[in-house]
Amino acid sequence: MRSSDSAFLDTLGVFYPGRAPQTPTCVYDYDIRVYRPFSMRRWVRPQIQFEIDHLHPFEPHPAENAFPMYEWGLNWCIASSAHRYLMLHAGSVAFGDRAMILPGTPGSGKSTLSAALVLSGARLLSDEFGLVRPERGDLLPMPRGIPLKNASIEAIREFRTDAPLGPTYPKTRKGRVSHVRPDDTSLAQQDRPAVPRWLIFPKYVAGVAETLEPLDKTDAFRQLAFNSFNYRLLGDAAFNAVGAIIRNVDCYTFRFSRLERAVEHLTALVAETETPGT
Amino acid sequence: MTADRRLWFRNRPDCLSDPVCEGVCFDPATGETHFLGDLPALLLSVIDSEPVSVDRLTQRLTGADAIADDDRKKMIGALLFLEAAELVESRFE
Repeated sequence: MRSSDSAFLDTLGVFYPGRAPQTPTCVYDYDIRVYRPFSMRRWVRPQIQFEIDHLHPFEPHPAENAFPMYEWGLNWCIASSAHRYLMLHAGSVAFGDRAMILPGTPGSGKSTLSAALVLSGARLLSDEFGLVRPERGDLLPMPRGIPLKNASIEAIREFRTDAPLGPTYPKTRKGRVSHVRPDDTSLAQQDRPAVPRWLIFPKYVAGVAETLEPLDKTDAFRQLAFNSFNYRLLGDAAFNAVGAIIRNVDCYTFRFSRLERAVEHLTALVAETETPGT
Repeated sequence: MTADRRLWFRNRPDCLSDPVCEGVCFDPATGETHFLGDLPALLLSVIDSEPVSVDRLTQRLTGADAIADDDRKKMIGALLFLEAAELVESRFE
């Protein structure tokens, strides 16, 4: 990743300290450049361009949105090329080496819930993408900033006043956005995969009492396949991978409104699984 | 019902079934995953490349030569569903 935008590089350094080599000495997956196009827009309402392998998949964004654009661009890179993995549209966190997968459509609250769990001691595996190795069935960590949108920003600030939030970007195409920085433990353990143990389909519903309900495995299969970006593309490998996950996890739907209570419910579930029958 | 006089078969590789989630199967011929009810799933499990009549399928499923009219109608409905989903084919005798 190369950039000459100092403000963007400063933010990048906060989120991924020491992770961007100046001179790549290994084989790398993507050649990304984030830069200000050479035009009048350098001075008048400056813009920023995301480039990957010399292609420009997006229109330029306002320069002040360089970091969210980089994160979305990175999502695009993964979604369009990482097909050796089953890609789940999910947040995922780990307790030890056991993973909790939180799939959901936009607005379900999966990122906010993932962030709250990480701020409560869970290890961040990934947000937005759950990367499953079909041949092993485990989840690969990809700890990156967790993007919070609009009211979720205040919800996390209220949940933890010391939450490590980056800058707030008030005018992005997805509204107001701020990112939770991945914690040092998650970054340090980014090479440590985790085995799926819980599959939770969260749904934020304002004012609702937290309710965790077991989900029939066939319904869970259907929903997990639906929440995979490349299920159809991978064919039988995806079918087998989803089936293996479903066999090995406890499946639930989870309606929630208060983060504190939601985290209590899910950490209690983890504790129950560790000490069955108690 | 004309479906009653057809022969039913599947001239494609077998579907993959999930061992835990009943009725969930992957069709390697189309790449589709299907979530089948009990009867279509049962029927699919006894249909192979040999074209057979509804009576023969009845025998394979129940061991009986005949079933009640209502059950037969349900069976034909399930066969038509499987055909619409491109999981089985049919031809006239």
